[in-house]
Amino acid sequence: MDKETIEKVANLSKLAVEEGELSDFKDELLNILDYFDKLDEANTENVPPTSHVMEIINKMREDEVEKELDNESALKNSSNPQEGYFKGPKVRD
Amino acid sequence: MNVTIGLEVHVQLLTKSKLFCNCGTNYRDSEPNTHTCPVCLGLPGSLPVLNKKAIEYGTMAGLALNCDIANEMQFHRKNYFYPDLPKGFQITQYDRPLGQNGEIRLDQDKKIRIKRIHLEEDPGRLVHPPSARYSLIDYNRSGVPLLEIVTKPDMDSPQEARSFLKKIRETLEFLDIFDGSLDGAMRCDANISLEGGGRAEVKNISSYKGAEKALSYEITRQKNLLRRGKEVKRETRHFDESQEITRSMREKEQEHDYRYFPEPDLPLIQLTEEKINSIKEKLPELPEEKRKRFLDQYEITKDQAKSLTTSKTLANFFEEISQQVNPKKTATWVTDSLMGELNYRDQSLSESNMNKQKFIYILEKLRDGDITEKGATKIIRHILDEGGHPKEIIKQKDFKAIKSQNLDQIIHKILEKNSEAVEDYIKGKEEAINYLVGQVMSETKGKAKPADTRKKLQKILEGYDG
Ligand SMILES: [Zn+2]
Repeated sequence: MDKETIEKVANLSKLAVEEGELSDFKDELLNILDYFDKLDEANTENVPPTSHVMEIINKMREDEVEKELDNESALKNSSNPQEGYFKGPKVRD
Repeated sequence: MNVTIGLEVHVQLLTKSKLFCNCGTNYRDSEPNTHTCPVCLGLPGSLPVLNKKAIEYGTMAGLALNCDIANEMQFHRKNYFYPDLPKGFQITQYDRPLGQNGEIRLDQDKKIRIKRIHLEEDPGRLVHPPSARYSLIDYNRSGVPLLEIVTKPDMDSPQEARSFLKKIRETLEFLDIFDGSLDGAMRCDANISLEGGGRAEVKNISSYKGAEKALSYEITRQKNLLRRGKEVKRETRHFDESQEITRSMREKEQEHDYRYFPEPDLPLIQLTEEKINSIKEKLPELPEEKRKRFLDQYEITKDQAKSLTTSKTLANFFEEISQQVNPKKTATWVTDSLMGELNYRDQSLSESNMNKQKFIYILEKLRDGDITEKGATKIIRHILDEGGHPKEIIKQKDFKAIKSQNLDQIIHKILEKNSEAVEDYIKGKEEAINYLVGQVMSETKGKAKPADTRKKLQKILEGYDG
């Protein structure tokens, strides 16, 4: 695993990784990848892919409007509300 | 030079509540962040629950677009980092979409294949105040159900892309699952390439006109590059609606690294054949079927049947009026006069001042000879421009057709004034009568019926002769 790969993964995860931490991350990530190799050893030829451990299907709700948050509650956790909006850094130039 | 176009169309489905929570979808007339909850704000610990209606609407759309509907489908997380997505991912469908392998036929009988359709959540809305160094976010739209329709690259002109979008709108509106008149209810991305060049993906198209303009611009741009022997890069471009051009988008490589994985909070959805069939049976009459029925049922032309079925509102308007007034007359007045006047004003029937009662009144007055065709047209224009009821307009504007007795008087007056034309006619110059009819029409300001006038004139002039 090269440095670029670790930096890319960190970047996608929005993690700031310092130069000195790179080798630690490398070891940890390689451990995880090794584990996937182990999983690959299992014979899954006739096993359908699983995406859920629970065998639940069709859990759905009716199309009804219920109680919504008022504006004040919606913005309660925001450190930066403005005029009823969430405010953030400019994302388009 | 061969042009290849494929579209990815996003349409909002008309459910009352959002795709994964019970918040309302009526964000357009609302204050920002007033239709939210922990689910659509992406707060930790909240869990999505799928809206049954969205699956039903999606299935209806899939059937109308002749797709194979999946018996089992799944949702995935599409990960990307942008503030319009509070969770840091969008819940969408990936390798197990709602429908696949559909097709739709355009009016010219051109077949456009549909690769897939799937459900996903609409992101929030970003506001960029001019000159501000920040962006504002409104999550009212976050979680509104979207149906994405992906075509195969089967279109070969901007006009065809526009026809396709219109067809999609028409079809989904007939199903009552979509309202194309709502701002931003239909958005699309287009893939376009020319023979021998790379493919450009144009984003941010939000209207039919926009689609046609963006694609025409792209064709010119790519043609010019190829002509000069330059390479057409494979890239994503942004359509600037106000300037009608496309611009290259600076994009980071990682934007395409979506790391899809199955949404663990949403169980699998199974649709049995019985369920799909029961939805199929409930499908309302689609434009194509309606067109055929109109042709069979009413004595109207092919073109009229086609025009009358371009929207559900229009089709119902015609059909309901036809129960009271002659269908043939109704079809003519709706397609020739009303639709022409609406187009001229860039209005749609539903947003105009015209309604069934008013139109029936006009057609009945016309049938009874109380107004002339010219008068009827003037009344229609008046209603579209200023509103009002035809009964009042006829009174106020003096649009009443001239009474037979009065017309006789006027004709005699005109004949006295134009003895030369009368003599010409008697001498056998038959065109002279046209001049006389014209004189009567202008004297009555169009309130006389040309055919009646001609008949009366002929009768009187024959008397002169004898
Ligand atoms: Zn919500």
